[in-house]
Amino acid sequence: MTMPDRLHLHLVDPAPPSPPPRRRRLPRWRTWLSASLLAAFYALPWLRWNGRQALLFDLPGRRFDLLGLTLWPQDLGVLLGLLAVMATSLVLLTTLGGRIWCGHGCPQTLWSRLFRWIEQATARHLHHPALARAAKHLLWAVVALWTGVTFVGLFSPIQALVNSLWPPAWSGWETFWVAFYALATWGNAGFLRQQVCIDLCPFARICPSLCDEDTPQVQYDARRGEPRGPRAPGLGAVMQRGRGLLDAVSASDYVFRAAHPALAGPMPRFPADRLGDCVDCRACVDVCPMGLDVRSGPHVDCIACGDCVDACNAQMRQWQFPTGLLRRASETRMHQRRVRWLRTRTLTALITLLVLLGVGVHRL
Amino acid sequence: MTDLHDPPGARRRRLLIQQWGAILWPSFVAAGLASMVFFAVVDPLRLRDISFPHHALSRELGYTLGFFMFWAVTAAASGVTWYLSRPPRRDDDDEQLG
Repeated sequence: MTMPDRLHLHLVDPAPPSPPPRRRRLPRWRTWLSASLLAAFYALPWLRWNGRQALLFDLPGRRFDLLGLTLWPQDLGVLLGLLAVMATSLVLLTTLGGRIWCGHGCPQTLWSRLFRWIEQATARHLHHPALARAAKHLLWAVVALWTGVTFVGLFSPIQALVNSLWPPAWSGWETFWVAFYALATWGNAGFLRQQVCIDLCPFARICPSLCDEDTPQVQYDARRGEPRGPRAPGLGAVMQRGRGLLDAVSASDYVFRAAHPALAGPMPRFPADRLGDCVDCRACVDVCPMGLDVRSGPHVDCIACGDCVDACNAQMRQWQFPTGLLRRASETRMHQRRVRWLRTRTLTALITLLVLLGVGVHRL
Repeated sequence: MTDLHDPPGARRRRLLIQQWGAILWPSFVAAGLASMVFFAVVDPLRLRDISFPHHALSRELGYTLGFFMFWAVTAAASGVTWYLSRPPRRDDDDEQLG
């Protein structure tokens, strides 16, 4: 028996150095925004106004207390008007700023983020998997139950509700609705998460028709980033080393090839000096709560949370490249045209909002 | 979401949630709105007096029952809509193509 001939391996590129692994951190303002919105919800039923609960939909008493305002059943129009004002404001906000609500304000996003944070924190601190799982479910249950109590506290005075927590003296319908709402929170934030946005949310379906080319969305600057690829450090960004921006056609061709390798075949290899600024670290893909690759182009499922932008900027800083390879920008701005602020959609939403407010002020 | 590359079990589960969600969720919102408008006009206690005067039903129970009645009705309508909007099964569907 003879030994096989020795294989000669020719390594083309030195293995790219991977930047030191860093824990994913949200920028401080976003953590604060999420935390304060959640805190505002949990604090809402505890607010007092002239000795009464400030926000109480007292169903048994058939009266709604809204800060200083008390609504009786015959004031239903005011409540419906308030709902219409909020809906129109949401349309206006989305037309002007993109899916800001989805990424930063929507309860589904906020509670999913909280539940995911609990999941990651328990896994990080408890090294025994079964223990981490038990702790996660315990914390999820506590948060879900407290969310249920807070929700029911908007309909039944919360002080009495919490006082009768132990020994348990809730009425049947209070118990039922706390359990119902806790179960909904637990299922939506713990398990369904982004599937709610993709498959179940009607607002997410309407969003594309509320937005146009002047609406900001998360964009990848393909002319600067392509062709993507790992490289040795010290090369500098495209603008620093004089490669400059690609023409738009080549850039979108590279994007298509990277997104559809089965159709386009393998990507050609590029010498390091022709590479764009995308180091293909996939940090943007790893952090995306919707599991998207934003470099393939804007996607209808993108909730514009900006996690990918922050992850990319952190990588760019590590490589000492300028930030903004991924950024929030409208199509018009990406093509260096002027953004129009007054469009048919904005004007329609604005006029509807003003009419609704006008009717409200007139009636009150 | 690269749903085409999900394993079949996950895809079936996703489809199931999508179908049930599309029936239960819009009907939930519609039932909530309907309850709000209905009970703003009708007091559950007055409704009880004319329908079940011999039963001690509280207002809260009335609201809860009313909401779930609305939800059952709206969900039934959503369910039938879902059923009818599926392509009907024809005789010539039995032959497999390809």
